[in-house]
Amino acid sequence: MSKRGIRNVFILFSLLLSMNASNLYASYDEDTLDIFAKMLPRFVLMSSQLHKVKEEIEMCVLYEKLDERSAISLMGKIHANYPAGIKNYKIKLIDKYYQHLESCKNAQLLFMFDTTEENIQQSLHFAKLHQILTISYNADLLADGVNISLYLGRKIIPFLNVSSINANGIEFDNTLLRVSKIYSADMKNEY
Amino acid sequence: MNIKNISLEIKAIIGIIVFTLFIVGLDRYLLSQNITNQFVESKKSKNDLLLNTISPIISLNISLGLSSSNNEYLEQITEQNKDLQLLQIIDKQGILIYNYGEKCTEQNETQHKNNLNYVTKELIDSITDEKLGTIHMHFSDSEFEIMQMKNRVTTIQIFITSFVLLLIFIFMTRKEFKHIRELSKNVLSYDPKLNNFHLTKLDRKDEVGIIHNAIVSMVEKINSHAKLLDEANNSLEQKVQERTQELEEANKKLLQLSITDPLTNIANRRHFENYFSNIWTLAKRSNAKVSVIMCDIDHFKDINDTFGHAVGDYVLIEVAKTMKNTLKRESDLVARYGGEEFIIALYDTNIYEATMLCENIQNALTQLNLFENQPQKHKPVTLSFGISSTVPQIADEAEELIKIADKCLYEAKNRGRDCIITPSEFIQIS
Repeated sequence: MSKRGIRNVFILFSLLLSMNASNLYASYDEDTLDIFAKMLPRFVLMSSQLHKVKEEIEMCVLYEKLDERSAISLMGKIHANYPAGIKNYKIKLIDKYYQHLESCKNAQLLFMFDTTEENIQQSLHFAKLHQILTISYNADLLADGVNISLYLGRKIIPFLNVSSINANGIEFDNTLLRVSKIYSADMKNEY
Repeated sequence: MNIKNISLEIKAIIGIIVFTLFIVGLDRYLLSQNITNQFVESKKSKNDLLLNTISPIISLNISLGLSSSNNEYLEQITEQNKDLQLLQIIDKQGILIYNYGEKCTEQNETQHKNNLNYVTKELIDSITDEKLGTIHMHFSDSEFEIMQMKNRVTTIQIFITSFVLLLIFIFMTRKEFKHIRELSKNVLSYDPKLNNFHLTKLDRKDEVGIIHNAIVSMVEKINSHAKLLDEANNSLEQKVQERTQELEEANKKLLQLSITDPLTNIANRRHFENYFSNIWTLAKRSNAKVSVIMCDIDHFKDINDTFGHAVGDYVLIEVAKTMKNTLKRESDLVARYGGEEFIIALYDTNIYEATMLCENIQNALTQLNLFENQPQKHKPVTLSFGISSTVPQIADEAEELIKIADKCLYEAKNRGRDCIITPSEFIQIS
């Protein structure tokens, strides 16, 4: 192989890698994050997770280093929406890399930015173990067993994976169920 | 068909139908009111239910910031509820964030107040209890109006039918009652004597006509019977009158017979005694004189023996007639006292006047020639008189005066007959 050929192969490989990375670590829409910021504390209060809340709503935001800015942005939006907390509860936000998942064991909610499949499975296992509500930015993760995401169609509505929610032993307010779209395995390619 | 020929039974049935229709109409009206109320309640419930169902979802969508979801949801709601005319959501700042349809006109404000087709509710965040806005919903009331109209029309139809039938029934019964009243008035004022029943038979086949004609027939019969009865009464009255007259005459005769001597046709002794007792009492009261003359036909037995009893009776009759003719006053009474003996009662007459009367009788007797047709000769008939007279006192008895006259008569017989003896002459002799 010539020098030029080697260079082309490298460029092609780099391009493929960059495509993978962009696919894996996608950029996050600020408006969608804004909706999540509004929803997250409410999901806790509208679910059986409320029973776990003592004085403050504890939510854990898990992300890869690549998504740190988006995670910080989300937390900023949450604080902006609920500066004094909600319904007499203060909001405690824990931002961790996926590697520091253990720090979230007392949280009522895990918000998951995109990560590797391995991290996802670990996180979901962890959440199931500690009965923590899981919410992902990416609706594709519902297929992996995440509890809630957002359905971004003609309208934006909560997207619930009822089977995983039931598996985690979490219950939701009926009203929330009525405004949400229910995920099923058949719908994997619909969104 | 003439209304007068309809049977009372049919009229009664019409009455019952009218009454039933009226009751049915009333019941229908009450039922429709009930249905209307139920409709209103159910519509209110349905509206409230819809509002209470969608408001938490809308609230949640607002609180979650899912306005696009809200819009789609509300579009579904407006599609599913065809009677929804207006749906508005106004946020807490008063900004209209969703609008469907047009605002209701003021015409329906009353119904809005009744919450029939207008509902509104505040949208509250179920978590924070924060007011998120207000939802207003207006529903069409056309169904309600149609139902109300149908109810009204049906009820009015039933009532109008009932009313018309009722009027017919009243008209019929009024006519009947008027006729019956007139009939009863005529019957009550009817007097067979006046024959004042003026109704005639009718050409009606119903019960009223039958009763009317029966009454007219009965009155006609009563009239004819009354006429016969009147005639019978008149005849009977005439007969009674005749019989009464005959009876009166018979009584008179009987009375006459009872007080009259059958042979001489002058008063008998009993009548004399009654009469004399009366004038005796009267004389006592009026202090008047009463005189009694007793007389006897001289040699009467000899007349009988000579000429027979028939002549003797003839003599008695003629002497009595003469004596009666001689008496001029009504108050003087001559009676046959027994056999050939006569007695005369004289009221307010003294002994002198009585003596004069005796002399008059004697003179009258001399005019008689009672035996002129007899084969044998006989002395003329003469009478012997005994007179008594007194003003009766309280203790005096009438019989005493008669006894004195009798004694005087006896004395006249002793003195040779054909003479008049008064008590003064009798006392002198005694």
